[in-house]
Amino acid sequence: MSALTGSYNTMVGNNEGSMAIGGKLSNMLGRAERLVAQFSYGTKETSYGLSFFKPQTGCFERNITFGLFDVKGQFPWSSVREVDRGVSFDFNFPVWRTRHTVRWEAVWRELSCLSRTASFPVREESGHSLKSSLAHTMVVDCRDSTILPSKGVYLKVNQELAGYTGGDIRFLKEEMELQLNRSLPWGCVLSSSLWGGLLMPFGERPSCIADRFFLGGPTTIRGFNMYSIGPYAESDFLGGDAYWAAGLHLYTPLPFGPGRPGFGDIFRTHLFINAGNLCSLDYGEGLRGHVSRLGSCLRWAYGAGVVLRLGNIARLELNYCFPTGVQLGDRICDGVQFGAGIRFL
Amino acid sequence: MEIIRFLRRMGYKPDSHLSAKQEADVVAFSALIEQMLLPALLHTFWVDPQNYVELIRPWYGASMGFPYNLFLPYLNRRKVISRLEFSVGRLPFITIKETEAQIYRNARECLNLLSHQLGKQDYYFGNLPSTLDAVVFAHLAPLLRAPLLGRTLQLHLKALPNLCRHCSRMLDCCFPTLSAEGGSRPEREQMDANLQKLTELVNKESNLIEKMDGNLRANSKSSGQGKSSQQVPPDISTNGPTPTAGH
Amino acid sequence: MLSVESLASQMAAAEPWPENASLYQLPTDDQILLSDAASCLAVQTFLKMCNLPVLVVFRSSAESMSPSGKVPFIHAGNHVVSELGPIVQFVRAKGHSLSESLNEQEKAEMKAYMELVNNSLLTAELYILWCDKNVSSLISRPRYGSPFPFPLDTILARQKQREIVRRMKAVGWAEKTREQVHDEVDQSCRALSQRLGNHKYFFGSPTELDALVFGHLYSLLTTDIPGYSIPEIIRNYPNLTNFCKNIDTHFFLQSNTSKV
Repeated sequence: MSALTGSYNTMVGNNEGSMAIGGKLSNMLGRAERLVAQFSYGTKETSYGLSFFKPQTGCFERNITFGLFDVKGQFPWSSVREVDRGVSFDFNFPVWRTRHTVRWEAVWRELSCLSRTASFPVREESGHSLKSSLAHTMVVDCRDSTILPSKGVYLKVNQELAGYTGGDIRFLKEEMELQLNRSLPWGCVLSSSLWGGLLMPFGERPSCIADRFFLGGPTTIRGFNMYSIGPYAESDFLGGDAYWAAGLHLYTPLPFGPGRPGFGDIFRTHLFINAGNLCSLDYGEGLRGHVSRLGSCLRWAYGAGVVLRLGNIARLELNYCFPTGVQLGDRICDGVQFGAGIRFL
Repeated sequence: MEIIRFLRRMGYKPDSHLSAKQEADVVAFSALIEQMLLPALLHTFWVDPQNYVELIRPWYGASMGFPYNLFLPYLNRRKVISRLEFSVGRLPFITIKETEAQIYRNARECLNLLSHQLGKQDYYFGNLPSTLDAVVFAHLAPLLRAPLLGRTLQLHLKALPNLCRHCSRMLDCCFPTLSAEGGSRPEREQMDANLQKLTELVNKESNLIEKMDGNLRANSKSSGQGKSSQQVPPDISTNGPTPTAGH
Repeated sequence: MLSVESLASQMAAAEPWPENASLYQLPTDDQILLSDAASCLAVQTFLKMCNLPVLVVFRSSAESMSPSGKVPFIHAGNHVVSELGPIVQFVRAKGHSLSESLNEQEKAEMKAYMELVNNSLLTAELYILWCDKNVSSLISRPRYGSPFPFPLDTILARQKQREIVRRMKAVGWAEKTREQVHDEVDQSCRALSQRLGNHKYFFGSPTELDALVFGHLYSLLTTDIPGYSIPEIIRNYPNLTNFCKNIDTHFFLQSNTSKV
């Protein structure tokens, strides 16, 4: 017996409004398969997605997902418009306490300038490319909650190798996320996190702006504008090939505490320090040169704010930030900053 | 332009008094008009919302039967819009407003160039009209005479007195019955009368072409005639005034 | 709208022609097609006529990089300008102009002849490349998709073909036959030949019209397209072939590949 559910929602974000229509067909062939179709129509862009999910009979943790997508995005911080069309294939399986995912995707990427005043390095990135990559992700999650954990460790390691299964983009990308949480008396939690990434392009072709890392904003280093840290040309940010970011948070329940459990439970106040750096790889410098470059001129910020948990999926934050360690070209958001998202530093 | 070529092949040569260089100028200026002025004319008549809704759709609707008047103007409008997009450029490289601005800028420049070229003469090449005079007249007359509501281009044309005089001269010379009518007046009855006259005129032209076609078929000696006679577009006899010089 | 343009041209006028100005076009060996080659040659000739040094850079993504989607484009200082018309205006704003000495009537004629070339020669080139089934499958699509891996080469080439065919339909060229295209080219060449007469250039000294005509005629003369005999049509007008030879030897010192 299969169930067809539909969903309709409107979203406003990133100076675009959009309407998303989705349909989900559960238990399609009788063994908990799921077919999900999504169509999002926005004031600026339209996107489509179709995915088919099939778990192994008897073991839900082991499953495969096959997806088709056509996603368009606008990135005003780099004046880039990106259209991704492709197919993806995921295989998830648990090994002891870790969850692994092996993913293959082929994406036809079309980059173009968002405005006529885009800087020339961004203009040079315009064009079509085909990325065919194999990625592996390992996740260890011992936390007691995804959004506001009070104890536990979270580790995610991801590597992606592109170019050896077709396409004309070749690189090796490594990313790491680590989060440690510790409970303190009076309901406080001390949380520290560390993120890092490295992108190594192969061949003569330099890395593409769509693969590079970006740093800054309410979800990474607070106090800076969205993805507005690091190498830049005129007023466009180009991203970097290597980055690191660290955060230290102290979460406390609301000071006047309207009692728990209840409304007050989804709020927290937090004091934070975020730091990080982003740079591009210049092979003439060697490893030591890059490490010292990542260590010097680092950007950091501190502040305090209120965190709101939305279900177990997302989080809203309202912070007052003091960005420090600002380098030439960075754009800061001094004072009040609002952030919403799933993944926060 | 196909009709002009067809007529030329038939031996009708209004350009026999022109030198080689002037004949070349005719070809070049016709291309100029087609590239720079025609898109703006098409836009004024078919895309400008006021003109289209108040003027063109009723005109064409009146001369077509039901149910054609429901969708044929709409289809023609879509064809015109797609042609304009390709003539100047389109998203994501250029916005619609910029396209329209560019089209009208080109048209104004073209009108200025035509005015400079005409100077103080009666016709473009001496005292006798030539193909170029016909082409210019065909494009400018509807713009000058039609009671348009969105009128920027019309005003620009009216500010070039030598072109207006040229139009009147051509009208007197070739369509003496029509020139008895006054200038454009916005009353409905006058519009209908104009439409009637123009339709009659166009029908007369198409009858003439059919007669010549008939003569051709009777003779049918020279090569390529079978092909060229098919180039007479069928819609010229059913529609009202066309701003294009015949496609 | 007008104020933005005048501001841009004021900014352009403020700086002299930079030393490191570059002209971006598609690679000539394996990717560029006839119509783009003609436009690129026209711009190169124009800049040579103005004595403005420019470095030619070949990029396979030049078409996507261009602000209007068409090659060639120049990168001079902070400005990126594409296509001959805007480049001529940009160069004029910097104080170099080839057509300043012409009177109003001659300027009108020059504009008219340039539109003639764009209207018939360029459209004929696009028709031959993309509306002719034989040529498009043998030459145009493989060359256009050559820098991309499978399956992107087929997808992009077919996308480009669809777009050009739609454009041809919009201007009424899609239904033309091969003979009609030959007739169009012949008529334009006759008009150009009649206008040129026995002179070296169209207006006494080289102008942008000479650059544009040379770009298209030279490319048409030196490109062999199966099923079309365009070079023969042009050779029927010996003053046009002499015109091309003359500009080739005068402005392009390395004329060893001249097959005129």
